[in-house]
Amino acid sequence: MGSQTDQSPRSLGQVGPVGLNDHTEATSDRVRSEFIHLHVHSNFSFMDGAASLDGLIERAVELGMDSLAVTDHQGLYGAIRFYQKAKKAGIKPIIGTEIIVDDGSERGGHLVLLARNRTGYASLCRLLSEAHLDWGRRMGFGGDMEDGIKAKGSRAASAKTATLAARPDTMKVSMDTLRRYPRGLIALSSCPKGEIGRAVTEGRHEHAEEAALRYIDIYGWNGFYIELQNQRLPGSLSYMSGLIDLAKRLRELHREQLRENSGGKGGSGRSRYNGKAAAALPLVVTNNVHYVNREDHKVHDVLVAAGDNTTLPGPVKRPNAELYFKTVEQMRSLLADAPAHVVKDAIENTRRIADACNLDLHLGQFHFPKVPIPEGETHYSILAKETWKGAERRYKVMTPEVVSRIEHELKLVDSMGFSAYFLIVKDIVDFAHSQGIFCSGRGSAGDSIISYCLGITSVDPIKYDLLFERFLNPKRRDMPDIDVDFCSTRRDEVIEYIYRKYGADKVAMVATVNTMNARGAIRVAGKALGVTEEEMSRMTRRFPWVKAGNIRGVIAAYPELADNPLRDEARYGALIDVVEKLDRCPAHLGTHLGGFIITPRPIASMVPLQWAAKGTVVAQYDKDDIEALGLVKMDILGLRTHSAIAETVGRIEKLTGKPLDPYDLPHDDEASYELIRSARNIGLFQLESSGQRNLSKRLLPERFEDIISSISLFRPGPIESDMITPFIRRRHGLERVVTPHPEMKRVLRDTYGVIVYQEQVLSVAAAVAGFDLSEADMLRRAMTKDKSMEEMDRIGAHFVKRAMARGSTEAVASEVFRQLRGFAAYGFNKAHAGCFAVLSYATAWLKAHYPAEFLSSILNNQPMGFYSPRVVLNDARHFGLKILPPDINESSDDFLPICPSAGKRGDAIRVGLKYLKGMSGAELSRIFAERGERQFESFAEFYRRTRVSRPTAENLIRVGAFDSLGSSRDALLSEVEAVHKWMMAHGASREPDLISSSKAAVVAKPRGHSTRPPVDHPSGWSLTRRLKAELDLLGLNISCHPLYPHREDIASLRLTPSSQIPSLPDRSKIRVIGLRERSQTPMTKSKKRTAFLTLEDEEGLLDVVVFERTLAEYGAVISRSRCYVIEGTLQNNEERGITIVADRIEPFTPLGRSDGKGIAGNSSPGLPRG
Amino acid sequence: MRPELRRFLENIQHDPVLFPTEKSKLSVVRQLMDTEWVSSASSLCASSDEDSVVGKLYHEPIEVRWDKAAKRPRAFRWRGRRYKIDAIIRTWVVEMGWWNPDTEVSKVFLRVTSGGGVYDILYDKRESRWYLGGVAD
Repeated sequence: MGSQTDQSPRSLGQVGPVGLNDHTEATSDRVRSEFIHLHVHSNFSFMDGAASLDGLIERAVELGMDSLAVTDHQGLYGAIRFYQKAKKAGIKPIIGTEIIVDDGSERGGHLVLLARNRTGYASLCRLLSEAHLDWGRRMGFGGDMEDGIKAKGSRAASAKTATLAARPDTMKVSMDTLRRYPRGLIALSSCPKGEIGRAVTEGRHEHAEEAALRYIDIYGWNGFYIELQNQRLPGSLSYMSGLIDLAKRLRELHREQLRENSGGKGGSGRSRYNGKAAAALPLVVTNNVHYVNREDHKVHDVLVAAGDNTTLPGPVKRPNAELYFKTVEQMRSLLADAPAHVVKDAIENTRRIADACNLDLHLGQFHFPKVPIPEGETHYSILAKETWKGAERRYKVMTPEVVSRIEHELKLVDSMGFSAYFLIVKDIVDFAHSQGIFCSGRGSAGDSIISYCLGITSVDPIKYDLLFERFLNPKRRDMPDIDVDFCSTRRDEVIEYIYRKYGADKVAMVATVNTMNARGAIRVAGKALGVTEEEMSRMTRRFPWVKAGNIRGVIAAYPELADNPLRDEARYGALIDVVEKLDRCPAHLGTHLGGFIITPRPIASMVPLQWAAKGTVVAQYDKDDIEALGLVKMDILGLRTHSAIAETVGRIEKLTGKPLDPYDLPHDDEASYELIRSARNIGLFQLESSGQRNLSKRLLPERFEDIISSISLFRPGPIESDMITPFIRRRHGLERVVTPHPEMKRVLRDTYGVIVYQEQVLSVAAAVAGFDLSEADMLRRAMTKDKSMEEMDRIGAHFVKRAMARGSTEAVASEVFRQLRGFAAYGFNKAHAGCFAVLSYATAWLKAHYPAEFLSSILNNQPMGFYSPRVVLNDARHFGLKILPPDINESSDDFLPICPSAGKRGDAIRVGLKYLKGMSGAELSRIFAERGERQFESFAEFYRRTRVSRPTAENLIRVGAFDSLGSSRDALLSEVEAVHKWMMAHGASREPDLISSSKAAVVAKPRGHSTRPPVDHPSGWSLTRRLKAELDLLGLNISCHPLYPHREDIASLRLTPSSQIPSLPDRSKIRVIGLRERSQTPMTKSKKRTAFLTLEDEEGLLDVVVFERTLAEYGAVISRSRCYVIEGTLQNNEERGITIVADRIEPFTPLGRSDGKGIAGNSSPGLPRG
Repeated sequence: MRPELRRFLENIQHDPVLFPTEKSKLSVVRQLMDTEWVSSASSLCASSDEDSVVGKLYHEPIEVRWDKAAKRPRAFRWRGRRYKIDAIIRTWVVEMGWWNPDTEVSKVFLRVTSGGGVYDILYDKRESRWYLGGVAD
């Protein structure tokens, strides 16, 4: 990979002023090992490798081996991390792969390829990419390569491709592809599944020789070796002797050729090979390693069987456990029967090959895509011009501070060589803006005034004290990473632009490596071990999302697993053993949500590609690999909040006739802050979680910066280190702001002396100890990494020394450092929070002023946020909005704000037709097409014109879509049968003339309902019936809250409604009822589990915390039931906000039900499903 | 399992006893291996064909004498008769069915020559016992 715009090597070796550099690379002083493993599978041979890269490297180090190859199946999935880890451990990494060659046989033949150097690495990338993409096309996917790569290919993904992507192990490399990319590669004949191995096993020795000569023709006489593998099977010795014979014949042929080339004189012929090269047999001994230790073969067996969707023994029926990482002596003993010179050659050749493989990936160099620039300009000159132009737009008054900040950043960006990167991001963002696609930059890019001026971010770094060095530290020279969120519904337009602009052959998606957690590992092991689907479901249904490594501890500790079958150790002990070993094992390659790689040259020469399940082309590397390779990665992420905002803004602009930029609103709208303070935050970006709602009430935001604080404070770190309490107490004057150093007080004035933001760590270090901001950022990074006590002491001593040099006493300096150290690990990036806060404020403003329009848009962009559509609709009710059922003449497909009159804000939300269970897209289209002609006047007419299925028609009646036509639902349901029969008999060409809707409504008596009491509703259905239909068929409650029909029962329980809770004093004993909306059970710092429940009663949301002891007693109730009566103690104070601490949790069963079923069991009519 | 036995089973060295020179050994051993009666002997171990004319499948416990100096089996006793092991000519390992205690197999097979006969003896790791697996004579 030649670098085109590479500037200088990354400063890995540079050490910060306090020795903060943590990039270390062990120097190899290992003794040269006589044998090197050249055929090794890691667990990146998805489902056919049980060895972790760390495990392999550790074993190689332990055995004194100085080099190691990793040759995973059909790709380089783990190659980059292997390369980095091996280098760090002082091992020479040999990167390779084991491919399947299309040798004419049904299954193809295995072949191992190793990269000698960067040319070889590029050959591997090209070969694998071409093979995977061609194979996909041969299997019937996509058109030409470009079509396949384009994003629109994703929408045309076929099931066939999904299967293909799931099984790249079935791909075969054509002989033509192999011949096209031989440079820099060494090939090994592979295992008995190789073309040569199979021929020898089957006694087809001539074919074996023919095949070997074919590979020699491709890779040269010293680029192809026969692999000797003794897997200690009954036929192994015969197999090996056949291979040894073949190697001897090949050597003879080579010698003959050398003689011919040299005119029979030997020595200096035309051949580039000398006699010495031909003296050794072209043999290597390998062990086809698939696991590190012998006992790990069980994990391997399980993976192979599960990968093939079969039970053990799986498809291979492997007869023994010999594919482990053997010692040199063990490898030698495998050749015990062979003549000494064969052993010598087979062992020594592994050493020769290892010596010949010297791949340097030049990590740390950058490879920017080409950005076209006018003649006479440079990337920097254009960036500078655009930045100054943007600054004029952003800043009405160009203060000296703004000018010097821009000059400072431009200088650093230029010196680090990142001008082109900024221009690429700007180009993409400009495109989105030009098309009206909402987008926003986020992350530490917000620390840059260049980003702000270029329109990438929307937070003024001068106004909010954001520091550039937090984003780009000149002492590190890491590739900048600017993440941009785009409107989800229009993201594809941006992606297509990228492909168009930079070339389809230079763009691919970034992969993710999906690893196994406990649930996944249980499924894999269970499948292989023949656990029935039903039993597996019992095992995994309520299993928490935890790592597989400590599954025994989890099973024992978690109350919701009390009846989990896995508690039967005698029965499932072996399964659990395997599960524990599958911890974090790569399961398959996924596609990153929005990561794109853009390369200066055809991407297939820089990274290996393959098809992803979605039909897009994806690299075999994840984002860390891509970053390590110095390639430009852009996160083109879809954010549904942008889509919801865009939809709302579209409606508002229609209403008002004026344009509205939601991201450029003045941040002084009292109604928006009042809304946040009232914690009615459902739908508000980053502010709607139960914790944030709680924090909103305590923090009482009054200005934009308070929203930034709120977003930053409600994070795991600040919560665990209890930064929130001093922040809140000091904010409300309940405690004095105390800092050990006056400069610290100044720097932390906006956060009351509490270090909330990472940027503040830099500012404090600069103010107290005189660090420049780059040094200060290195200090921050050092303090956020795991460091030994000695290292941290050394860093502290350096800080104290610098602070004392500026006049601090040792005690003060030490205290400042202690606080920095304590908070640095938890501080949040203020720029990131600021970028989010722009969206938070926009959503608050829209909800405060246009609730119907906003909440409809939130509903239309589900799934998003924390709450179900049902709860969002209930929230709409609390804003005084009416919720209307679907209507056959009024509903759109989506939720629709209904305006009382033209130009007025909406006062109701109409449920859309597409939410009806069973409604197909085609049916929807026909309904809207027909309605476009004229409205429907009767059910019979609707049924005839739209030809929807009978179940759809009946469901529409049940949810009230025909209520506005004046007939009762029962009458219409009775009519369906008659209309349907008439249609079957007469076709849909004319109106049913025997039955009219009104006639039917009069004549048809509702069957089976004659004993129902009269109902005072035009539909003729009781509230409970309507509610049940709504919940069953729409998943929503329109007529009333699900608890409403049970009011009498609930009243007898003497419960407190959520609306009254804020007025109750702290520590009140309280009893509430609620439907579970969300539950989270994180592990606290003290390794205890606490459940946080968000419940909903008729009047709003309730937050409940269940501590470990109560959780142990009632965990099963929480997981099995959906509606509870909870007794507990109310926390209602400024420090902690409003929360109920549960003491007792019971499922709610309506009175009068003796069957034990009720709301909790979800069997009561009119309740949401769990 | 005794450490010396474990080491031996992990790292069995075959014997060049029959054929003193490397060249002669290789070709003759290969010929031997490819000879039908020996190949059949191999399959004997997986066969239940009691009527086989070239060999017989057994599963009978044997007693193995250990050569401390050579760190390898020296002889075995079967049905009261002692068989001196002249050479170990082939080995293989079967490690299967671990997921089911009823079908689990963990055995190391040694094909040995003794007094002109070829015997397959095996060490069952689960039972920590030696067995005679088959005889080809």
